[in-house]
Amino acid sequence: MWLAPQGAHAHGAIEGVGDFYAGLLHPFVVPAELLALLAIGLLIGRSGLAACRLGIPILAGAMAAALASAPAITEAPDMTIALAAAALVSAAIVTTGLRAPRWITACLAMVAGLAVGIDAAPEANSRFAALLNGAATLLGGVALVTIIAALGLRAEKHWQRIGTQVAASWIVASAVLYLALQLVSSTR
Amino acid sequence: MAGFARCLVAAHLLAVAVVAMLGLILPAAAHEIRPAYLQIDQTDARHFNILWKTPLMSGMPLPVVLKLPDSVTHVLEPQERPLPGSILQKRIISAPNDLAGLRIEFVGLQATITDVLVRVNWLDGRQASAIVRPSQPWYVVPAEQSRWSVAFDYLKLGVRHILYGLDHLLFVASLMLIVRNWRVLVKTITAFTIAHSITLGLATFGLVALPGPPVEALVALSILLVAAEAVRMERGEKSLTITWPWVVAFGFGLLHGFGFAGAMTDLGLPRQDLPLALLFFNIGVEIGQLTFIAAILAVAYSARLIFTLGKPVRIAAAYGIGTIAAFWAVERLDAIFFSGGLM
Repeated sequence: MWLAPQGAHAHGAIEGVGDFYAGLLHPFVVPAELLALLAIGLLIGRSGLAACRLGIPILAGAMAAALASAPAITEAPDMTIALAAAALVSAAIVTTGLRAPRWITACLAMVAGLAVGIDAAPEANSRFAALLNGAATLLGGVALVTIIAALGLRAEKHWQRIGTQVAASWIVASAVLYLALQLVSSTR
Repeated sequence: MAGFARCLVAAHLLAVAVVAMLGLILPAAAHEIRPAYLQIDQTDARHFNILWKTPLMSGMPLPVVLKLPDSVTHVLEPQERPLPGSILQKRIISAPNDLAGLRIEFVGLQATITDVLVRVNWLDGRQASAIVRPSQPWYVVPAEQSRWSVAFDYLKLGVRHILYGLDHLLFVASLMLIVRNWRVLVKTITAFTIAHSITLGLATFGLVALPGPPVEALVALSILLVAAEAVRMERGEKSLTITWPWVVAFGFGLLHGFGFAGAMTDLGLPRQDLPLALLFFNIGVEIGQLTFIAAILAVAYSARLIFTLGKPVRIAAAYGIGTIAAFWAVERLDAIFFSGGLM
């Protein structure tokens, strides 16, 4: 119920809050983006400090590159499947408790960053407004991943690790549901 | 202690990033977002005086048009009069059914970030007020309205006021730069809150009045001063601000209260609503302020677990805040002395 109606207006601007807050809140109110960022945050957090120090700048760079290239993209592709897939793979690694190599976490962070950046491409009236909106989206997305990664890093006790795996399993379930909904809607 | 200090430094970098984006890209947005105001006063069974006051944004009129329902007829056509910082429009209308159930639209509001405060006063003493937001740019006049509804509207206005009042947020951020631990942070923020509540109350009740432009210029200078003190602290120097930041927070908080009061006093609200409105507006301001601090600290705490931030970064953060504040100060002083902003 949460996923289905939101998917229809995932790109709708948040009206009445201004370009900055609309951009800042974008990754929090679009479910596919939120799932992907939560999953990446958990993955790099559970993968250790070195993965965080590599993954967060890569995610930020990829998001910034995608947001900056938004004006050049005439028809932005639907990134929902890419976002859900990134969320699924990342969360599945955390759920199973596997130790992913650093290059894999870095690649997933880059894919998620690019997908979020393209998906959240600013739809503002002026160049300044678009810049403000995009920069705020970058700030919001990176802040979210940083907080989740820090929580993953600090999850040292047994029950905390179980908690992160449970959270990741919910993300897996949500991502599978999202992909299934996309599949059903595309075949109709 | 050292961990908390690093956390605060990270908080500054984040706060500077947030406010710099808002403040430098859109300099005009550094001022509070002042709402437009619609007042409807019943004069007899069918007639109403309409007062429509819209703020000027960087000298330009707000691109919002008041649209009354078709069932309303004009007895006196709209007449405009420019005021300092706003445009006042008056008209007299004739309307059926006490206006109850009629829908008033604010065309163009959805393209702004400005709220509209609406007040309706009927001859029998009934009143209604509401805050209309860009996301729903219309108002349906109710037959009756509860006091909780009024209170909630002002609470939301307070939250919005602080979240768009970038200079106040930057001042809070600059205070966090010279605070070394949790206890001092709580003291400092409490002192700032008490101080601005005092002057907000005094100014709203009309007991003390200061013109807006000098207050805004002093607010910018207060941020600049605290940022300069932060740089001095990094150099190992001592001062009143560094030793007792809550004293300075209290002093400048008195000044910032006049800034908060600007949005409320500009509206000329009727006295009977003022205590309730003031209380909930102030609570809204505190909620917004604490949300800002909590968000910044949450990200900062997380960032310090992952990245290392040294002294050069702390100094850069202070210079960043100081640069933005200096820009605002020059802009506002220029408006006072060379553009007649004091009038």
